[in-house]
Amino acid sequence: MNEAQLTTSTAQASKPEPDYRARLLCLVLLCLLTLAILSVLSMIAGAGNTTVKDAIGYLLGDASTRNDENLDMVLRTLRWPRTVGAIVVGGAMGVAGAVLQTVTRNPLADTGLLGINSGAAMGVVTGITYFGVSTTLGYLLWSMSGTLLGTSLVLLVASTGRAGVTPLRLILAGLGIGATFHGITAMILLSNQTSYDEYRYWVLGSLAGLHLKIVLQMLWIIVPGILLALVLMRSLSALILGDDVAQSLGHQPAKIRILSTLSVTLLTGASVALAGPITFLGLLSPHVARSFVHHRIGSLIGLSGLFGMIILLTADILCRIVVKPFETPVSVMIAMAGAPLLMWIVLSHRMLTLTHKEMR
Amino acid sequence: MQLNVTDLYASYTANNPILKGVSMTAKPGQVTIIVGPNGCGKSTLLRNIARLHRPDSGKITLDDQDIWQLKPRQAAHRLSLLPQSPVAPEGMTVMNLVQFGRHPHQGLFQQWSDQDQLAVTEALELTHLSNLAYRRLDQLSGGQRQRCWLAMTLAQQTPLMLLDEPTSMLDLGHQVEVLNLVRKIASAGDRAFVIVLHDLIAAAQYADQLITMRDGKIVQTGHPRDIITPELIKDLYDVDVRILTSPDNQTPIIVARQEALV
Repeated sequence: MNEAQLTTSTAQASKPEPDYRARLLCLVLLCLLTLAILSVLSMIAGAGNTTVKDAIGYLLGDASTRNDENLDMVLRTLRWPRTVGAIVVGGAMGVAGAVLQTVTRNPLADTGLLGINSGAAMGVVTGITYFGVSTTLGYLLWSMSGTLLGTSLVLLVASTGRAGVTPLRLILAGLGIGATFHGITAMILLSNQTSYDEYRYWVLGSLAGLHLKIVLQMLWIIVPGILLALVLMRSLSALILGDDVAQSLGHQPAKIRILSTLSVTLLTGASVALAGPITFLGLLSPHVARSFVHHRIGSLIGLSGLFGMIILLTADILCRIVVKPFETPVSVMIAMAGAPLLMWIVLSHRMLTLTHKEMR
Repeated sequence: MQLNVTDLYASYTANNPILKGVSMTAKPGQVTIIVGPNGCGKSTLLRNIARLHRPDSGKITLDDQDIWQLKPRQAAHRLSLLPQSPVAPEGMTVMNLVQFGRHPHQGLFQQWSDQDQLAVTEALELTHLSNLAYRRLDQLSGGQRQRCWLAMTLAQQTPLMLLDEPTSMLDLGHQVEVLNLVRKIASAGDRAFVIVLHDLIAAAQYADQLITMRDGKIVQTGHPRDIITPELIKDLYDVDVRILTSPDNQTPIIVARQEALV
C-alpha cells in the first residue's frame, strides 16, 4: 500500500457512521409519533357507551362535551390514567427486558426468569389470603415486597462462591427460587377458593382501574431503575464481548450483574405492582428493538423501552374493543398479538443473537 | 514498564496448586512466549497477570506497583488481554469492536475525544485494517478477525499486552500473519508482550524470551537459541526430538524423531 492509498483509507476509517445515526433518529421519531397517535386512540376507544365523536369533541375542548360529567369521568379518571399507565409500564418492561437479556446473555430471558414474577405473585397471594388485601395499593405493596424478597434471595444465592455472579448462576438461582415461590403460592391457593378467584384475575394483568396518583408515585421507583440502566449501558455493552474482555477493559462483570438485577427488579417490581405480571412484553420488545439496532446496547435499551410502550398501549386498546363491551386481559392480548410478531422476526431472519460463547 | 512476577502460587481448588512458585519478568520491546504441555499452568499464569484470577501468594508488579492493588480501571490503562478465541456479537463492524478498546479511557459522560479517535485510527493502521473498518466482523476471515481483536487491545494503549493462544484457531498463513504483526509492533519498542502459545516451533521463531513450564513450575527461561535442546523438550513433553536450525535466522526448529512417531 503506498502513501496516497494509506491516507485515503485512513480518512475513510475516521468518518463516523452518519447513516446509522440518521436511521436511529428517524426510528425514534417514528416511535414517538406512533405513541402520540396511539395515545389519542386510547382516549377515544373504549368498552363503554361513550361515543367516539363525543370523546374527540372532549379532547378538542368542545364546550358542550366538556360539561358532560359522565364523559369527563370516563376520560379523565378511566382512560387517561390507563394511557399513562400503559406508557409507564410498557417503557419499564421494555427497558427491563433489554437489560435482562443482555446481562444474562440469554435471548430467551424474561422477567419470569429471575423469580421476579413468582415473588410478586407469592406476595400478592399472601396479602390476599392472610391479610385480607383487596385495594390496588394493597396489591401493589404486597407484590413489591414479594419482588424484593425474590430478587434478594436470587442475588444472595447467585453471588455466593468463588466464581461470583455469572449468567448461568443467575438464571439457575432465579429458576430455583421462582419454583419454590411458585410452590408456596400454589399451596396457599389450593386451600383457599376466594384467594384463588382474586389471584386469577390479578395474574392475567390489567391496566383497568389504575389511579393516576399511583402511577405517578410508581415513577419514584421506575425513574431510578431507568437511570440505573442508563448508567450501566456502557458496561453492559462491553459485557457482550465476554467477561474476560469486559474485565480487561476495566469493567467489573459481577458488580454489573448485581446492579443490573437491581435495575430490573425496580422496573419489573413497579410494573407488576401496577398492571400484574405481563411477562411476554419483556421478552418481545427487546427482540423487536434488536431487529433494528443489532448489537448496539445503548440504542437497544432505549428502543426496547419505546417498543414496550407501543406494544402495551396497542394491546390495551385492542383489549377494549375486540370483544366489546367486555375486556380481554391485557397479557392475553399481548401473547396473542405478540407471538405472531415474534415468529415473523424469527422467520424473516431479522433475529440476531447475542454471544453465547460461554455461559459458565 | 517492566513486569515482575515473584514466587507466584495459584490454585482453583484448595490443596491443588496449579502454579507452584513461578517467577518471571517481561521487558518493553520484547516478546515473551510461554510454552508447556497441557495443564502446565501457562494459561493460569496469564490469567493471574491479567487480574482474572487472584493468586494465593506471590507478587505481580508493573514497575514496582502491585497490579492487584490497582483499581479495575487503572489496571486497564496498564495491561490489556486478548483472551482465547473471543466471540463478538453478530452485526458488529471492525470499527465498533476496536472502539471498545477506548473504554478504560472514557468516563460515564465523557464523549468520544480526538485522542480516542487517534488511538483507534493508529490501531487500525498498525493492523492493516483501515480499509476494512466498516466491514462486518462475521464477513471477515479468521486471521482478519483475530487482527481486529488485536487492534482492539492495541487501541487500549497499554504498555503490557497479554495474548492467550492468539493463533490456536488459525491456519498456517493466518498464524504467521498475526505473529509477524506482533513482532513488528513489539520492535517499535514501548510495549511488552506476554503470549501463551501452543505451537513450539512458532514460539521458537518469534520469542525474544521463551519461558518453558511444566507442572506449575518454570523449567527454563531464555532466548530460544540458547535454551532449546532435545533434553529440554524431552523433559517438557516426553518426546524424543531433533533440533534443526532455520536457514533464515538460525532459530531452532523442533522435529519429532522418527521412532517417536510410531
